Amino acid sequence: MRRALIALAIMLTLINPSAHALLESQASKYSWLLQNVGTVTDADLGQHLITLSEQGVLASLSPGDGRLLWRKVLSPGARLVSGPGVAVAIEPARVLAFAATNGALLWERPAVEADVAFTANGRLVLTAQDAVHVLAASNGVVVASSKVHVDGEEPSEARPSVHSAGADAATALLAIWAPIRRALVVLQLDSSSGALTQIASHALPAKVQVDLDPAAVAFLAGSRLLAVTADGSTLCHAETQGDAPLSCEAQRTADARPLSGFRLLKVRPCGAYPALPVQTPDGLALFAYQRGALGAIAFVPGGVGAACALDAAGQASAAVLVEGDPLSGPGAARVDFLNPADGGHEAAWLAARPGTLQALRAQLLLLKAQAGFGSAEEAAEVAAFQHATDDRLRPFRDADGFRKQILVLTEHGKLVSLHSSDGHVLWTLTLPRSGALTFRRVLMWREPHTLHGELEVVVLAEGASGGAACVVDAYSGRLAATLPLPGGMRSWAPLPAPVAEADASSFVYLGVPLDPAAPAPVLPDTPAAHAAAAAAAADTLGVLARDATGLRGLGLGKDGALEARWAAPLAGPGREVLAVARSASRPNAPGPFAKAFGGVDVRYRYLNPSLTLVATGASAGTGPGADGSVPPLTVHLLDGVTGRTLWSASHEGGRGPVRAVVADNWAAYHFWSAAAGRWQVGVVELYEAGERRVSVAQLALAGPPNSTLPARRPPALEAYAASYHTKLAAAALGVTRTAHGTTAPQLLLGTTGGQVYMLDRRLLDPRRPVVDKPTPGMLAEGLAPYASELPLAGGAFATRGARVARLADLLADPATLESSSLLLARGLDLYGARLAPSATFDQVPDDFPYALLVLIVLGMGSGAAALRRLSARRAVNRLWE
Amino acid sequence: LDTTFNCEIAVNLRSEKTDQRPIVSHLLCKGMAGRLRPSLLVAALSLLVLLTPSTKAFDIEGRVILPETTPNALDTELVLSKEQGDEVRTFPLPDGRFAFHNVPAGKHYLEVELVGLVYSTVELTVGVAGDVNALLSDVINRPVVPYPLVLRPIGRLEFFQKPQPFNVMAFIKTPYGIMIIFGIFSLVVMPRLRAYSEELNSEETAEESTVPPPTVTAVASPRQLQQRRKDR
Repeated sequence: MRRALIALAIMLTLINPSAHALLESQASKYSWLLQNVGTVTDADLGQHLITLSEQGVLASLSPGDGRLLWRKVLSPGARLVSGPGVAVAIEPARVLAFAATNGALLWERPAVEADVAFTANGRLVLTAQDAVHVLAASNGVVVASSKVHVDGEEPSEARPSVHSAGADAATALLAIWAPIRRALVVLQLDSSSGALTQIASHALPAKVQVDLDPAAVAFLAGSRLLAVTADGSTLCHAETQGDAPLSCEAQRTADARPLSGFRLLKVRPCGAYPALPVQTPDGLALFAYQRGALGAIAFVPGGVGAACALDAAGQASAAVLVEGDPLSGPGAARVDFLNPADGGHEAAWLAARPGTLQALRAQLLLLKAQAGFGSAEEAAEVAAFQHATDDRLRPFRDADGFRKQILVLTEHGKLVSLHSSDGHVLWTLTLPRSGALTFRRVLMWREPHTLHGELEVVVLAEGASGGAACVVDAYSGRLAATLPLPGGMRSWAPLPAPVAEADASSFVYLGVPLDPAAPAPVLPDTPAAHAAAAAAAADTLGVLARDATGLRGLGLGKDGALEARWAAPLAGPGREVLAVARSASRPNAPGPFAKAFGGVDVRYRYLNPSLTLVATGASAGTGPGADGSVPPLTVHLLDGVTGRTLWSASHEGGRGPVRAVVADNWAAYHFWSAAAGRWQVGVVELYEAGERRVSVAQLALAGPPNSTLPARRPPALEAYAASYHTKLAAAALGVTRTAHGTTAPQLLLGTTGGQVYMLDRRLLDPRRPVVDKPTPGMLAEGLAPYASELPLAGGAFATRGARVARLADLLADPATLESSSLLLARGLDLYGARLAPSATFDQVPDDFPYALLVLIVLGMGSGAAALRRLSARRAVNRLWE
Repeated sequence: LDTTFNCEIAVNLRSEKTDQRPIVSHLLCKGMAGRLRPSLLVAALSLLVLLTPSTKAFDIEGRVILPETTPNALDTELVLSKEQGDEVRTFPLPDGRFAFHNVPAGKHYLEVELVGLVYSTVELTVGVAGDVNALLSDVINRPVVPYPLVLRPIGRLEFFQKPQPFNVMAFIKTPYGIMIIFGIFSLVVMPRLRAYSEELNSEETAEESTVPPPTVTAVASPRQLQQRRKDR
């Protein structure tokens, strides 16, 4: 018991104390969260603004200011149908109904290929396969059910779509595409009894080759229906009742382009004249059906969705949703801010700050608000004043390195600059796109040597036949240049070092073509860049190619093409590459080069910037192979220059998914252990073995040695490895980075639930001994006895109470102050935070009582003066006595 | 007891919950005319049923207990990681009830995601007959959970330090408290020490010196002078 308490005490001391030392009121000073709803594709502008996005996010927004009220992250591709007080989401295999007011789940029902509509009397009609059900919208109780059957058709082929435009409040209309008859059959449903009556059958003209999309049918309030072919190219219409064939006509956009290939959004009846939204790559086209003909009524560049709204008079109108591009794109980078002295920007910013009278007014309003008498407008005024005067939000770099820009590249080609202190948008640049370009990455392009030069980044947009490299001034968001890129590239790899010029360093990238025999292009296509690439040709360049057989290291050949320098055939049948991680440490700040075991025995860390981790094995859900066995999870540490295996381990029962991170001389990987039924974290540390072992005295007297080692003749290594159980399922792994690498790093574990957990490296130390009582050496080194379970402490969550939906990536950059690291967690949302892995040892705490210090100093000064006076008077009095 | 069989037996494994077509396996007995015991036939049939891939799917139901003081209870999500590798998410009803539909037989894992509360991971073993065995996989001894599931939180995470009330002793131990104590000491105690030291020094000096020290009594004070004037 006593030993267990000692072990527990050590564990508790290892948990980062700085993480506990934060009050809830201080959280907004160090972190921020931007929640996104995704690219909105469907919305309902009724009493509540309900949106559904391409990413499957169902959300309710405040109609006044767009504020997020509630949000549910569903499967991508879900559809939305709204009714009175209910938002129904249709997923491929189920239907969920949420309360529009707070997002609470009202009911859920499995349904394959379902469609839903509300009748005018508040019932909900749900079709699934060949059945139709009438439900109570509030609780999902089935009131009536019927089988849908069309004469001459296979029952299993019935995929009815349901619409609310019935003859009266209790009826609904079902449209069924009958493929054998090639006709659109219309049934009328009595929502009270569930009885179905066929009222129409409209044959599709033979000239129309494509089938109709039953989901894209609209019934007008009158007696006419509209239908669109599955490819969105042809619009057909007919009277609702009767058996007259459909009248069909191929449609074109407002600029006379055919609609073929364009994505057609769900036709939404909107009064007597439904708007037909058609999504194009450039925007949204709106069509209206009037007087028996379809005509384009609007084209909205950048529009991404349409919704039906009722105006004050109760008339229907179509609203266009513009710009739903979420800030969760494929790339992100953190770069420096503009130097405050340049161009008088800081002086202009200071001049724009509120004056003395405004400050006085804001302070009075603040006092009034604190007393509980402030209005909402006054609170907003105070917030605006605080925002305008907050030093953290200055758009210039600071000496501590806390203020930086975060450049986020969205999928639709927008580059957005965010302030690292609170995430507010500094500038936005919509990049030019011609044709179907895919925006991939944002990379460094030009870094000035001085504080006054221009910092540039490059955005790579790739297409099948070619792409573009957009060079952007990071300070202003100005597009500086657009360079052509060749097509057919697998990736772009940076050269090991940038090209040094007179006033800046230019980064050079080498294209990795899909065709191994094709020459590798160099970006930029300049003589200096080509010379730098040729100079690096002798090296492996650290370019890795991953394929079905494993990993290959590429180098630049004499003919300008990339050639394989080494191969690691680690994968094969039943075994795939589950994760590849490369060193996240900066070469110029690798951290301490030695570690004292037990406080006395100093070992050199094996600091290899090309250290690469490769995990191979069976992915999740993989069954046994032909021999009835499942391959174990195997982890290799390779030298990325030579491909030499430095260390490897095997975990029986280990499965994917695997997340991994490599930093300094250690690596960590997270995997699922099917044998234990638990998540596990493995960790390995590498040290140099042999005669390079030194003592503390030698280090103190001789100083740090030259630790450069040739890659092709590596030293003998000592490896220490261990694995631990954890309760947290990881979606991403990262590691904190600081300016000089001397602050103890922490493992960042991004969970599938959207949180980021900071795990002290000492808890992951593979040398934690399996003993009951810690030895003096262990105590000196801070090593806790081994425990298979990693602790879970609330204060160690970097995200605190926030949650990053679909967390996928962690980006940690150092601040100028050694104690601090800046975190960016990316997913559907963005989360930024300032972390202090080993507490803020080089900072004055934010709650430092400056006023008290001044009072104490003034008090002591006054007291000293008074004492001097009293002393003098007393001396005189004594002399006179 | 020997029986000659000449039959065709169909084993219908039609799924009860899914829309998948029935799987029909035929066991032809026509060529097996011979001495086959009924028990062997039953065993063969049982083996066939076991070896035939099952497509049955079932519902997993339960209730997650949400403390009344949970402000973000509506953000609760339940994640079912299936043996087949895919993952299904759902939400509980306001009263905590939840259901996963069309869950195939196998070993699955269920987790509750709610920021601020910790729940145990539940290992679910769904049999081919739809029987569900549940146990807490990350708790020592892996206790069994009765079905339908009732999931209770095992802990609450405190993300922030709670503000502490003002503590005089803690303040005195801070640098500011020490400064104040030192200031008071300098103002109040040190002058007394200085006065005592001067007196002590003067006494010692008086004792050690053979030469009488110059006295200031020769100089009359203003009060003495005034008294002398009155006396005159």
